[in-house]
Amino acid sequence: VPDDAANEVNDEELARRARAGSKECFSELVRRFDATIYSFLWVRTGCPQDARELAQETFLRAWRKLGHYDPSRRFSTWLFTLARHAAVGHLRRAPRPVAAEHAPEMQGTREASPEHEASRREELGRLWSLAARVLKDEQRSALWLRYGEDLPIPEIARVLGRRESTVRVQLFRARERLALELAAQARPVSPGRERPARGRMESLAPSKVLGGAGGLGGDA
Amino acid sequence: MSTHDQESLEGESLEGDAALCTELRAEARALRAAAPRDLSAGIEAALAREIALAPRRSRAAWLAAAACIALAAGALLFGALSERDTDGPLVATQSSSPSPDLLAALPRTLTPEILVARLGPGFEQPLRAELDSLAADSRELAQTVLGGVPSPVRRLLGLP
Repeated sequence: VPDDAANEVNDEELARRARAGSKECFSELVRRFDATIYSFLWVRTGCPQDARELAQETFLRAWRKLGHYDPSRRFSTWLFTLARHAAVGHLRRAPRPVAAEHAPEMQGTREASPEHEASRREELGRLWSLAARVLKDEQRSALWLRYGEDLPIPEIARVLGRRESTVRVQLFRARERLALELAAQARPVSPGRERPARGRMESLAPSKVLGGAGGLGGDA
Repeated sequence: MSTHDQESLEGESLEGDAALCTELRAEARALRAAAPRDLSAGIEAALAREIALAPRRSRAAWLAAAACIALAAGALLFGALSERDTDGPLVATQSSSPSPDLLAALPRTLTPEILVARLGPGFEQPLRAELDSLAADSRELAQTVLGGVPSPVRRLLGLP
């Protein structure tokens, strides 16, 4: 498939052609989704190196399992599902705390290149780094799929293998927890204690994010 | 759950929550844009290896199937031979065996026919029963050995 023509073909059609044996179409899908899947896995695992390896594993699985793909469904949903399975399998093989205890690793304690990558991503995504520290795996995934990928709730439910109502609750709790953490960071500190660094996130907390006395908590 | 509740759970109807969501979206875009540039190259290389290895894996699968068939055939042969080799000597262990003196007088190699001829017609039935039992044991042993053989191979060999 020539590049120009491939750009006009939708993901599902490309997947259909790849399933029929077109390596070029699959390569186009890789180009379209590599950063997306990598970012999802970074949020899920909290580690750039793991995210890179798992992204590769996800696309290899996709290539092997193209025969199982139903082109009437969104290709991205199917791919995210494979990525989630890869991440779950990875964490099962090498269990690692991915919430609060994982924060130092996100700041980079591994080899040079991932360290640089981690610190850069930490800088670019302070809220997402905070999410990695304080949210559970699935809450983080739901949050990314909703706000990082703009997936509708039913698609997120399909990727995570949960009911739509569960996903809504997960999203609500994730936002609530983030808002509370931001509020805690922005809270005035007692004399003699250092105040946390002020930054972009402080503009979101506490009054703006929580909406004053009502806000998230009041509406729940 | 009412529509209002659902909207509240999604939360974007709230002004403050909307600010958080907007910030999350903006950061997500930045993160995605900052993904390593060489990702697809790495994936393509892994894919090329995968495609190159596929025929070899297929050959290995065929070889494994052939090995299974050979193993099954060997096990069948072993079962058949075991059935033939269990004729004479074990007769002495049956409960209705003759006295030790009589057994000592018997030649070392016996066929069922010789044995029956020497012991008389009264022994034929227990002897046959013992031989049948041994044959059944051998079949069971063969089936146990063949238990690990994949079902397509079993079907091919006409095994249950």
